[in-house]
Amino acid sequence: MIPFFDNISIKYKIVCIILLITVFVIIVGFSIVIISDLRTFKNDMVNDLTVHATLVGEYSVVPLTFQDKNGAEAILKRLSSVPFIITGCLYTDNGQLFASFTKVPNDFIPKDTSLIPLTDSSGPYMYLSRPIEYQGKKYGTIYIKASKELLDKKINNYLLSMSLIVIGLFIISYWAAVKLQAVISRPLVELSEFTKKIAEKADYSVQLEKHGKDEIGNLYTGFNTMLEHIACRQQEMLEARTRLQESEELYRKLITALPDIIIRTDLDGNIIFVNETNIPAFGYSNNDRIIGKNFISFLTPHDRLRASENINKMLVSYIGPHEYTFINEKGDSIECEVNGDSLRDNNNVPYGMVFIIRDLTEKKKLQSQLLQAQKMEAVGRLAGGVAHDYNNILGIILGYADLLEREISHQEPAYKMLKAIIAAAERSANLTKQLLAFARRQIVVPVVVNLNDELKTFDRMLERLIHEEIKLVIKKGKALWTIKIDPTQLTQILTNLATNARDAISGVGTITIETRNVVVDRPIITEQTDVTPGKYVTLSFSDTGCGMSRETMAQIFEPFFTTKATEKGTGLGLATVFGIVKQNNGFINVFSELGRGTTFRIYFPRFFGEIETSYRQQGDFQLSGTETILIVEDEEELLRMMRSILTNHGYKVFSASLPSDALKLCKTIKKPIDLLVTDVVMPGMNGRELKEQIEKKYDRIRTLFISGYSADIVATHGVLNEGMHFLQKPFVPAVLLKKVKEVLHE
Amino acid sequence: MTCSFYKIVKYAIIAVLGVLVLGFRNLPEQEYILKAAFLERFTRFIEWPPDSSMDDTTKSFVIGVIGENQFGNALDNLASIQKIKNKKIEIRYCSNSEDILLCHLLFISSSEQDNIIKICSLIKNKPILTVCDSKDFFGHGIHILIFPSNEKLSFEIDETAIKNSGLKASYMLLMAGRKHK
Repeated sequence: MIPFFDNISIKYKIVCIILLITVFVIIVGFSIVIISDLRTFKNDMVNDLTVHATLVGEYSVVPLTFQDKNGAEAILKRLSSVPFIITGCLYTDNGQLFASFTKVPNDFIPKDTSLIPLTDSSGPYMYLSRPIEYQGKKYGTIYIKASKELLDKKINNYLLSMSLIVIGLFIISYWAAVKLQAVISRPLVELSEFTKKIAEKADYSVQLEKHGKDEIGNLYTGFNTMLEHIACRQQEMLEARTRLQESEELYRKLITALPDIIIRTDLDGNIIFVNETNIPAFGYSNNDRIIGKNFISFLTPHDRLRASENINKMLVSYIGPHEYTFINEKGDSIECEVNGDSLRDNNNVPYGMVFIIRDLTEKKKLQSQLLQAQKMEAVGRLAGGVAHDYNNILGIILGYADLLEREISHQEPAYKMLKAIIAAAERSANLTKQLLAFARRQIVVPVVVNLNDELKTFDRMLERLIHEEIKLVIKKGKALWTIKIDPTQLTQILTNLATNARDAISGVGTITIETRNVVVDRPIITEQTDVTPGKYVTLSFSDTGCGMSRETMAQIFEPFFTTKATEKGTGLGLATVFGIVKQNNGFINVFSELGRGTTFRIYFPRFFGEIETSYRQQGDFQLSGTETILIVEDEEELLRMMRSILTNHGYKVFSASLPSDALKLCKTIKKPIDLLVTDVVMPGMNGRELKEQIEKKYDRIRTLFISGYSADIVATHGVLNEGMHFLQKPFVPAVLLKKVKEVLHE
Repeated sequence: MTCSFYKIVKYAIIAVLGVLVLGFRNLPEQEYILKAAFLERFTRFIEWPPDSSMDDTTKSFVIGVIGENQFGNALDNLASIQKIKNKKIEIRYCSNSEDILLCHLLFISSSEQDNIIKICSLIKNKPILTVCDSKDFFGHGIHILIFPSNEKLSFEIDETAIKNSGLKASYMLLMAGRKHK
C-alpha cells in the first residue's frame, strides 16, 4: 500500500478512492467523447464541405454541360453564404479551370486540378476536391478551400465547455464522495473511536449500538461478541490475578514470616532475590550487600568447594539439606542448614536455583541445652536411685557413729577412728547431697531471705574455706530486695563458688562477693539459659584467680567436668550451683579472662509476696520429749537406730518396717499417736498413702517424712508440698531429734 | 522547275478553294452546331416515360427537325458519333404529323411560324421534347427555347409544359433554364 495512505483517516481514503475512480472515469470518458467529438467536428466540416461540393457540383453539371461559365460562377457564388468556405473552383472534365470564386482577393486559384493542394491537418485550411459526375459520366471537378478558423473556434469553445463540465463534475464528485464516504466510513470511524476508547479505559463491558445487516453490521455484531468474550476473559483474568495476588501475598508473608533466609540465584549462583526481613538477624545491614554476589562467596573457604560440588549435584537432582558455615558482614561465623533445589522451565531445563538458609545457632543451643538436660536427667536418675539406699546406709553409719561417739571417751584410741568414720560418712553424705542438688532432686524448703543477712551468717564459714592469703571482700547492695530460696541451697552455692575461687587463686588474691538489685529490661541470651526481663537480685562472686579459656567456660556447668586434680574436685560443684539457680528460676552469667580472674553473677528473681517470719527467729527447744511416735522404715537397721535415738530421749516409740505392719500396729495401740515418722518410698505403700490411712484413725497426728531423695509423693519439682515436713537422709541423731521437736511443736 | 512549282501552287489553291466552296455549302453555321450539341445534352437531363421504349436499345432515339433544316449535317454528324440513352440516334426531318409523333425530340425551326399552333396542338401532352430557337414559339407549349446570350447560347425551359407532356426534367436543368426568367 502507499505509505501516505496508511496514515490518513479512512474517510479521506474513501474520498480519495472515489475521487480517483471518478476522475479516472471522467477523464477517460471525456477524453473518448472529446476525441470522438473533435473527429465529429472535423468530419462534420468535411461532410459540410462534401455536401456543399456535391450540391454545387451537381448544380454545376448543367453549366459544365452547356459551358455556361456565368452560370457556374453564379452557382459557386452561393458558397459565399458558407462562412468557412474561402474559395471554390470548378474544373472541366479535362481538368482545366472553368469557373472560380473566392472571398480573399489574390488567393491562390489552381489553374488545373493537378495544382489542387492536399489538406494538412495542422494547417489553417482544409482542401476538398471532388469529381462532378452525373449518371455515371464525369463532367468535371469541384475544388473547395475552407478555413479551419471556425472549426478551431468551435473546438476551443467545446473544450472550454467540456473543461467546465469536467470541473463541475469533479466538484460534484468530491461533494458526492464526501457525502457517500460517510455511509461506509462513519460506522468504521465509530468503531475505531470505540476501540480507541476501550483501549484507553480497558473497559470491555461496553457494547456497540446495533448496525444494519450488511458486512459492517456483521462486523459490529462480531465485535460485540468479541467484547463479551474479552470481558469474560478479563473477569476470569481479574479473578485469576486476585487469586494470584492472594497467593503471592500468602507466599510473601510466609517468606517474610519464615525465620529463614530464602534466596534465588541464577545458574552461576549469583543472588538475584533475598527475603529482606531476616537479613539483619543474619548480621547483614541490608540486602544490597547480598544481591548480585555469588552465594558461595558467603561461605567459609573451607565449605566453598563442598558447596560447589553439591550445587552441581543439585542441578541434576534434589540432594537434601546440607550444613555450611557462613561468614556475615561482621565477620561472625553462622552455622546454617542450606536446603536448595534447582528451578526448571517447562522443558525441564534448569534456569536458576533457590536456597533456604536456616540459622542453626538457636538449634545448636537448644541441642546443647537438651544434651545438658539429658545429662542432668541421667545423673538425677542415677543419683536418685543411689541416694535412697545410700543415704539409708549413711544414716545408719552416721547415727550409730554419733551414738557411739557419746559412749566412747575422747582419750581412747578408738575415738579418733570413730571421728574419721563420721567425717568420711559426712563427706559421703555431702557428695550425695551435691548429686541430688545438681539433679534438682533434693527436697528444698524455700523461705524468704535477704542475701545481705545470709552473707552475715556465711561470712565466717567462707573465711574458713579460704586460706589466709586470700582476701574476702563483701559488698552489700543497699535496700536489697528479698528472694525466696532454701538457705541450704544458698549455702551450697556459696560453698561451691568459694571452693572454686580458692582453688583458682594460687597465692595472694581477692574474692569479692557483691549483692545488687538489677532490672533486666530486655531478654538476655546466654550459652546456659535465656533470661526473661524482670527484677532480680544479683550475687556476684569474683576472684582474681587464673581465669578460664572459652573452651573451659563452655563446659564448666557440665556434671563431672573438672580442671582440678582427681582428689580435689568431684566435677559436681558448678553443676550443683547451676542446678540450684535453675531450680530457683534464676540464671547465671560467667565472665572470665585467662590470668585475670572469673566472675559468676547469679540472678535470683525478686520476691514480691509478704515476708514470712524468718526461720531463724524460731526459738531453741529441748531435744527430749514424751510424745508417742510411730516410726515406719523399711531399712531395718535405720529403723532400729531411730527408735533407739528417740526412745533414749524420752519418747514412746512404736515401729514397723512395712506400712502394712504399721497399719496393723495402729489397730492395737490404744493411746493416741502424736507423730508419724515414715520413709517415703516403701514396698506396698508409699509414705503419703500411709499417712492418709493413719490420719483416718488419728486425725491430729503429725507426719515427718524421711527420704534419701526427692519424690513427687511429698514434693513437686523438688519443692516440699505445703504443710509437709521432711528430713533428708542421712541425718545425725541431733538433727532427727531437732526435726521431731520442730514438727511436734509447730 | 519553276513552272512545276507554280502549277503545284495553282492546283493547290484551286483545290483548297474547291474544298472551301464545297465545304461552306454543306457545313452548318457554328451556332447550329452548338444547338445540335445542346439538343443531345438536353436529353441527358430529361427522362421519358416508360412507354417511350427508352430501355429498348435496339430502337433509335429519334430527333426530328420540322421546318427548314438549319443544322446542315450537324445533326447527322451528331447521330453518327453519339448515342442518346444508349440508343442510336436517328435524324428525322419531319414533313407530316406521323413523323412528328415518332420523334422523341423535336426541333421546331423558326420557319414553322405558321404551323406552330398546329404542331403544338399535335404534340400537346405527348412525351416529345420540343425545342425551338424562336422566342415567338415559346409559350405555345414548346419545352425549351434556345437563344443567344452574350455571344453564347443559352436556354429557357417551360417547366409546366414539360410536366404536362409526361417528361421529367432534371432539377439541375430546370434550375439552369429557370434562371433566365
